[in-house]
Amino acid sequence: MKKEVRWGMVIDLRRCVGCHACQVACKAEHEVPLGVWRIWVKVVQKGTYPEMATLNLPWDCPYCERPEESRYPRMQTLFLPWLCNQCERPICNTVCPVKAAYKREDGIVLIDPHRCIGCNYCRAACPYNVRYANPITGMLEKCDFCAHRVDVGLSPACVEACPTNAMTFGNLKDPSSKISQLLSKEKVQVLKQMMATFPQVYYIGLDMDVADPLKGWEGGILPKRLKELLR
Amino acid sequence: MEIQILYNVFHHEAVSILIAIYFHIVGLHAGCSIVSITATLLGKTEYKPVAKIGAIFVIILFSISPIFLLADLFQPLRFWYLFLHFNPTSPLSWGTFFLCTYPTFTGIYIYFLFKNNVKWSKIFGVISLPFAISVHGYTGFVLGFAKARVLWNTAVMPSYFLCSAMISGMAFMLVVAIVRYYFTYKEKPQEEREKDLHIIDLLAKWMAGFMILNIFYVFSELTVMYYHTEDAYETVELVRLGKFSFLYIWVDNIFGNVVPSIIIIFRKTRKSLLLLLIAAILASIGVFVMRYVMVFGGQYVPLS
Repeated sequence: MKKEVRWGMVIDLRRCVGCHACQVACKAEHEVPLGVWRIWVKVVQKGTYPEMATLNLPWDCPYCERPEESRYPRMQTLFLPWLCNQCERPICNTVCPVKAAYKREDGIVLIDPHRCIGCNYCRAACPYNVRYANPITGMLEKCDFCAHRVDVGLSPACVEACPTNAMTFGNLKDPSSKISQLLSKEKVQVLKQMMATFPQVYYIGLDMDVADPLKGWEGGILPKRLKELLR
Repeated sequence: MEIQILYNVFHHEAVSILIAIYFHIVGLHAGCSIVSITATLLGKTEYKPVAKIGAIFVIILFSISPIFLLADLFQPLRFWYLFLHFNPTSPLSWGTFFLCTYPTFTGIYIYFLFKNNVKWSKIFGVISLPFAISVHGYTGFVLGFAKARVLWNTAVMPSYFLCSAMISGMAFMLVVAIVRYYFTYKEKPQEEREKDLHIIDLLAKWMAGFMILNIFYVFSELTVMYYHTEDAYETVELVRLGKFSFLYIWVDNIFGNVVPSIIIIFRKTRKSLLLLLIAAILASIGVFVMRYVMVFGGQYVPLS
């Protein structure tokens, strides 16, 4: 009997220390050119800054009287490894005009390099911004869970490189695998659930401020509005 | 509380300026051919010059438009894969089909039009009209199916694109008709001059109608976005007040739609050919700016 396989990944953000080892390992494994990335660790700092204490707030701010309290313990740095989510319903497959993007039976979304015409439509449609055009070959590429390593029984390069074992890779359909146990006992989240792509990369301890691309964005109007409102 | 991004990766824009130019040119020739076919189907002899002007520009504009598509591909020599592997869920595949069938039927239509064969030009006009609509209509679906970008992923997008295609096609034909009148009116008798002026008047009126429809689409798109998700709120503020506000609100909508339609609506200003020429040029610029803002404004909001 053929064993059913659906590869997935769980990233425990409580363990992530932001060392970027996954990013470097991926670059080395896939020879990713300069300027583009298959996986990267988004780093966001949030908290009450010392500058905030000097503002004249219209209400009584507990931190204004004691500005020293607005420093270390009241802020934190958040890390988020961002990679292809190997969606169950991938929009990149749907819109590819030559069927170069396809999903394998084990759930890994791949791109056929012999068929891709480089029209960039999948890149425009992907809600996770994980696809890039290889500047050397002109082909569209993205994270493929290291399909060549998975096929011979190894785990992806980023998972191997992670020093704190924050990343867990495994078969979601096997109830005894470590990933299934993590999913059943921990509180997990996915990125951009409202896009109805059903991502198969799960995060434990995901913070809304690091998951939301608009939070802290310099060009945004909404963050500025909120800041003005808070003043 | 303050939030600061210390490290993030932004992959550069997926859809380039070439695609914005392609959208504009394909809109121009689709608009021209819809006007030309409509003029033929109405069957009045005085509309014949309009049909012929439109047909000539369809040939010229269609022959340059696919170059932009090919130049945008990263693997241009693999373009023929589009014919081999048809994906029914991808609007780009539909586009490949329409870009092949449309010139075939429109070519036959133009042949019979210039042979003065009224019956067959009408038959092939009827056949090629849906293809002329869909050859531009599919570009609206191309943007509409990219679900990552809120500015594109709206139901109004295909009809909005078609409407602006009609405006650009009519504006282009209006410019050509006015220039033609300016160079030829001295040699013509009074009757033919009045016929030419009547055609210019009719084109301008229809253009104003489509402009008012366009303003309605812009209004519904922007207002509905205010009641949508956070991304939509951010995007609509971007095009209304942010980086693209001058181009979108002023150049496209005020000077590209409102001012020309006011010029055309009032009888006194409509009689002035110079003002009509300015209105048509403003409308053309406005439509191109609309394509530019749609392509780049949609991709401006970060996804990661």
